[in-house]
Amino acid sequence: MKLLIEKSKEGSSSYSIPETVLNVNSNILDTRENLNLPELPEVEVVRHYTNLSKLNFGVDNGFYPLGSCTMKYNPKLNEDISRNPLMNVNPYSENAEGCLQIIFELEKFLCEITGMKAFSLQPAAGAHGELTGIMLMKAYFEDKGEKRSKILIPDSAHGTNPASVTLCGFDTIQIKSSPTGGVDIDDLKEKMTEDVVGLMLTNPNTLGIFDENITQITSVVHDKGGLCYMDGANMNAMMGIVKPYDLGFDVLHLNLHKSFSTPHGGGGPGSGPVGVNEKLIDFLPGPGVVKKEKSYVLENVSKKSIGRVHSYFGNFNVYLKAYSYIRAIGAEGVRRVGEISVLNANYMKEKLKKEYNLAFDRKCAHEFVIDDSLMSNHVTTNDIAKRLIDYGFHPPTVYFPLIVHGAIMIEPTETESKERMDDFIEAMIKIKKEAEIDPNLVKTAPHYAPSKRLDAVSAARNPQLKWCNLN
Amino acid sequence: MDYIPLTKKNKELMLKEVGVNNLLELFSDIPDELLLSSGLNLPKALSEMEVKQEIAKIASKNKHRVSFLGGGIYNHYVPSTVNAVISRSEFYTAYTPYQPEISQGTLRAIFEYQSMICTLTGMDISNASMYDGATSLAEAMIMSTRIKRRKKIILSGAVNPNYRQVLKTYAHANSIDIVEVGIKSGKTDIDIINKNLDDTAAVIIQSPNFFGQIEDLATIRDSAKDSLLITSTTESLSWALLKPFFSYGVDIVTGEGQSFGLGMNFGGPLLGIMAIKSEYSRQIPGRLIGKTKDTDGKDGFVLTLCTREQHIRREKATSNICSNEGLCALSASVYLATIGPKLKDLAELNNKLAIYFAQEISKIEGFSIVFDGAFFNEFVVKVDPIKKPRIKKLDLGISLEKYYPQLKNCYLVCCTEMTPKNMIDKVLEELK
Repeated sequence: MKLLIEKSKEGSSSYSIPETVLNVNSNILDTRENLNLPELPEVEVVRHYTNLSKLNFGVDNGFYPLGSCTMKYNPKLNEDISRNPLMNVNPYSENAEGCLQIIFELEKFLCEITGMKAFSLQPAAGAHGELTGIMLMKAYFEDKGEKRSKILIPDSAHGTNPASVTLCGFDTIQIKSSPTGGVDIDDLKEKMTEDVVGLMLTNPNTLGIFDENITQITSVVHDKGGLCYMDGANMNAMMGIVKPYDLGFDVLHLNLHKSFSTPHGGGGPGSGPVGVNEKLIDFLPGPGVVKKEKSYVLENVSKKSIGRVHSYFGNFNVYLKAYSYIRAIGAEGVRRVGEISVLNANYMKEKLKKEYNLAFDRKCAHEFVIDDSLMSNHVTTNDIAKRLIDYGFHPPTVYFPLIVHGAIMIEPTETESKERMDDFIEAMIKIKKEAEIDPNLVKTAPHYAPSKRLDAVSAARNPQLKWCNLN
Repeated sequence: MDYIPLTKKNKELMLKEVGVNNLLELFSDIPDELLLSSGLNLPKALSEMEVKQEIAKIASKNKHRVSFLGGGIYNHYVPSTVNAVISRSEFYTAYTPYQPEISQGTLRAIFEYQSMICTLTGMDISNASMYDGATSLAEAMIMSTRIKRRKKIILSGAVNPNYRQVLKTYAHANSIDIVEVGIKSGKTDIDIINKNLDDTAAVIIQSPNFFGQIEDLATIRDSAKDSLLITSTTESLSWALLKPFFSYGVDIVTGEGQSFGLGMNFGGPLLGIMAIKSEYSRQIPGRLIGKTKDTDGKDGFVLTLCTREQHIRREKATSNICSNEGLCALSASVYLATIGPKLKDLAELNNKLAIYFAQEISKIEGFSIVFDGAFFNEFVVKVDPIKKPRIKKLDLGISLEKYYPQLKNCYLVCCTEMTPKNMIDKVLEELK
């Protein structure tokens, strides 16, 4: 397929700009001579992108069990909601009470679901929420006049956790996992000293394990004056079942593009609101929204606030979809999400552990991790992933978490039926057999995808990051 | 409506397979006393129709008036091609393109986005986008402190006030020292840059700046000496008219791409643009898409130079960013491909409408233009308090006093193709 620039033909576009006669001269001296953007007729633009879309695979194409990414179905209702022209408002408008009401009510819903006492919707993604959360922890200790410099993170954590810590000028101290996949309490006790800001924990963790020692863990941290941060990437498993606040978390972020059904958009836009307990309310980014009698108004930012983390109010049009989702599924639906996402994962785990090595053989939350250790003829996790594409599935998350060699992390979500999961299980069993009988078939997969395996090494060695301009 | 397809029969079969009697047993790792004993206090579930009605009711509380608000979010016309393309769920229901064999749609589109941003800015490399203009600028600031191994930043006071707040938030966390430079006649006071230049990692300028004024980048580049020059642009449409920033020796160009096919949406989602000189390629934050070949020798695209990123480098990564604003970058690509080189004509129209409005409003008693310099599509007008009742029924512009106490009774007015001449003329009549 050709690139836009290769399809460009001068004089081929009939796009028109409104004609206006204005008897004025521009006062700009330094204008550009030419603008070498591609020029195509509208029909070719639309064909270009329609054909590109056919090279993609989304949740609407098929089962997408990407662990820790919660690729649940994205209700079409929410897409309609997000196109309401009445919500298309400039953020500087002082007549946007409808938008303010959405912010106010969504924050209240998220408080109820998590038990936290206040939220900020400014963070635009999960990693942005993490960064904001660590900034809040930093501000808390600065306010108390305590000098602390380290943050504890389990070895099973997502890479954004330590990277967010660095951006706040703290050092990351790694905590070991226990043989059963949870936090190694002794290691935690040893490392939780009085110069430690706190612990950053994904719960349930990236192995899909709900740590049974969770309250003991948060107590160890609190006893030394530290704070507990919950990475809410895996909130789906807890929805309506248990509140993070009750587990002892002081601050958390949610990924509305995971648990709350907003689409991932091929890598964004997401929304990563941050929730806090009583200790950290004053430090939240501002401005917030308050209800005064019957109207919603912006509130002045507290003097202790860390300040803004987004140009305006975060990804409004994304979290509007989460608002719509919560209104549709209601309180009972939120609990069903937690229950059925966990049932689905446990069902798949029980079926697959008969053929694949299960990293931690115990009850799981919304996801679980198997590996490639039982495969014949050196067929690897990557080969399995590519072969799954041939069977019409998006592969699971692979080679993560790092502590499981050749990890395959599977998260079905609650929106998949038993039949769809059974199809996937069947494909996994077939691939294992193929590895025995015809390993080359698996090692050279995919055979039926828009592309064969791509050479990532030469892409990095000799980076070509834009087209060559033909003009 | 909960979108869960589980049948009663399947539920029983699955519980049996798992070896539990009921759903609650699945949560036995959670201490009993913590399990919620009562339902959540949330509104009851609604049908699809009711959700739409409820939200429409809330949306109707937004009052829509004749508006010349800009300041960082612009009311531009979005061609129909944009929504047609981004509504294709192969694009919007996909995840990050970690499996390139089935993500060539996203990857190619973002590669083309990177290419077109390089065309607009003249820079060597564009990343796959960031959250918004403000965080993109903050990441550029942090990047400059790494490149220069210096911790001081000079920041123009004519940068959007919200952006400056975001920079301060990020700078505080990173122990970066920001020196803010005041304004003179609506532009950055270059003399103050000269006085504060010692040991500076970067000078940060917005152009067109918050007042719509076009900054003198050539002179500022000279003044910045060996510090990096970082620019921010909130109205990226201006790039279609102005000389590419690369030609002034800008090191890092950042911007807000909302003007390229995104709605205003109360300020989000947005499109953080970042483009750099190639010498900084190992320091750039965010995703990059590169061209390569598959095993059949066919062209293909992959995420590349990933050793900068958090999933490989963890605490040593160039940023913690894990995503981009993929769908917004796609909107921008479709927008730019649809309008093509005529984007320059559109930019010219925006510029001329603003000049026309400024020229005509200044002829009315009680209204005066505050700054003399060249501007793109925004300008500052001072309104005599006697005339204030006249502007009550419209959004003439952003009141600036809150951000700049010295600009009492001043408004930042923005014109786009959505404020055509007949609309301006009608408003002028009402202001007389």
